[in-house]
Amino acid sequence: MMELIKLIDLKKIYSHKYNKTFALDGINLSIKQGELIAVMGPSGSGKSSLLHILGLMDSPSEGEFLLNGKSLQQIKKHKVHKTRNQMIGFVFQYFALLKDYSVIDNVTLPLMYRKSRHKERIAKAKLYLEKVGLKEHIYKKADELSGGQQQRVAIARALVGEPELILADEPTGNLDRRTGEEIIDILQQLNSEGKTIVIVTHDLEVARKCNRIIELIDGKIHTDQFTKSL
Amino acid sequence: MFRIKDALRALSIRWVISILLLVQFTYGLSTIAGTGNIFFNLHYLKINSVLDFDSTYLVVPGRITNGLQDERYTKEQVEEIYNKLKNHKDVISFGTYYADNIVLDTKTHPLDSRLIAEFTKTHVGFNDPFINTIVIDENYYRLLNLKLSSGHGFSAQDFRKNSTQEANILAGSYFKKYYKTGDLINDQYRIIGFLPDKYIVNNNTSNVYLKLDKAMILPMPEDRYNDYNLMLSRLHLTTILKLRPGANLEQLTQIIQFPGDDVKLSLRNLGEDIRHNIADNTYSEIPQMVLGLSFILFSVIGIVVTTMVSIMIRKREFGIKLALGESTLGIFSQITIENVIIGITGIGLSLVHFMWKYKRLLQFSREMNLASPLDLKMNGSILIIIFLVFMTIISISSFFVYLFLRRQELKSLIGGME
Repeated sequence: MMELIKLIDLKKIYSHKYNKTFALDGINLSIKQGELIAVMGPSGSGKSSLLHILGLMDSPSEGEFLLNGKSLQQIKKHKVHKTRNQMIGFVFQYFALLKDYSVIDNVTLPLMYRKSRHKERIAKAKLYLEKVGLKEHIYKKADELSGGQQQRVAIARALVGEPELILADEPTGNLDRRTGEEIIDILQQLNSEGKTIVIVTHDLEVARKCNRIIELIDGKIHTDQFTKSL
Repeated sequence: MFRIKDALRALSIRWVISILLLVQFTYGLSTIAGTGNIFFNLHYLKINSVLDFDSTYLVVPGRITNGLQDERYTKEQVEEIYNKLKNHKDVISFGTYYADNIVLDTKTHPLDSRLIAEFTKTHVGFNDPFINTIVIDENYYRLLNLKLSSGHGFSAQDFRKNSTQEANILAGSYFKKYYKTGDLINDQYRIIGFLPDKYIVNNNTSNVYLKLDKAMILPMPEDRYNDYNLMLSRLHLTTILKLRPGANLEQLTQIIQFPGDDVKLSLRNLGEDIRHNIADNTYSEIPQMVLGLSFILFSVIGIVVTTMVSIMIRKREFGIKLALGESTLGIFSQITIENVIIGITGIGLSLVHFMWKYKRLLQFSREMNLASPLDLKMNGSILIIIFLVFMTIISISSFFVYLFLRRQELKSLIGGME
């Protein structure tokens, strides 16, 4: 399998007046295409910092980050948003939908920033909304949907740009167990179709459904276990 | 297109802030339109006179209570005064004029409806269209700095005709839309040239002047020039002198004054009059100007603060958009578009407000076409002033908003989602 992400001795340091905090402290990690990874760890372990860096929302203080074999330093600062738009899809705990927008408007957003044609945007959005079982709700406002439906919209939005990597931050954290399971089933299904997915979670049940579990403690990788082969 | 849609959606969501900004823009730009008009007029007065400021003196009568007593004097006495002026060492030249209105003959000559509408001045009680006209004698014509191309000015012959004969005239530039050189107006007035867009004294006792763009200048017919009553009247009311620097005004005043005349005449310098007028109006306009400048300042502060607050309130929205691939510049564009939409709406409302507030004055200005500080109008120049003020506000506020936006970190905006 091709290596999608490689982190080499990656550090994220927050400097205060008299001390330094290592949010990430020497992370070495390789993520291959098609992996379904759970990142676990207690609060303050560095999960969010890792997710921010993987999602190109933040830059590391030290070390190297290779995305599809290309160093982050090679991506010009004013082009980071383009790389993020083309390569990464996000699913957040609180869905992160624009509540005043319709379902279809939410889903087409990533394509809008890619300046895709209107027809193409709508066709793709409908395709992915159908995939997550929401075709009949496309013109509803986002906040008219249930939590589970909103998370499905968020997944459709993460998929619509056909990114290489999907980052999910506690995707079931705000859902009841049954709905949470449905969401994880969708993510598993997407993974089986070849998508690389990284899920940050506290939920061991969710982690067990992944083929690799990484545990972070104090900004370091404590364990990195492959639970199933790809 | 989607950014405009997004901006409209955002404005409707934060409608309270939008309305506050709109009110600020409306009243502010309306004030700017008023102040802009006055300063524009003051500038116009300063540079557009066809008479030289420093050397031109107007004969101004004191209070005329019993009318001009023509029976007390003779034509020869008036001519003697003019002769004395002509031979005085301080007098370069002098001339006389009178104001007249030429009613357009619409019955026998079909005229363009826009021309008729333009010259029908209902607020002064005339239902027939008429043109403000200055009738000048030969001397006065030489005094004017009209800068006409050769063959397009009056000749000595033009001043030898009587009032019933066909006359050559100089028409304001407005008439170019409807007439060309050689055309006749009312079968009597032949256009031989067009006047520059300047103003002329049309009343020695007033500090408002006639703009020439919609006016006409006629050579004074000989019968009117030699008419004693008109001559006496012109001496008292409409004589203009061009004097050398340091002229003995006291002596000249004595020359133009009839012995025992109830009407006391004096000489007033045109430049001094206009400069006083400009200075007085500038001082009285300072509070309005301060108000206008404050508006610009408060608008910039208002937009910057409300936009920053809006960014903080909309952290979630911007965070999501950035995460999905929008650029900082894209977010900045959206915010700028929102402010521009409010600003343009504000411009529209301010124009409506201005035209409603000064409805009568605007009509008066349009019909009278006088050069005066209060000649309010809504034309291209005023619109440019308003647009420049608007652009200044948007540019300065956008600069500060951009600096603020650049300092925002995506991860902190994303933090707003949780």
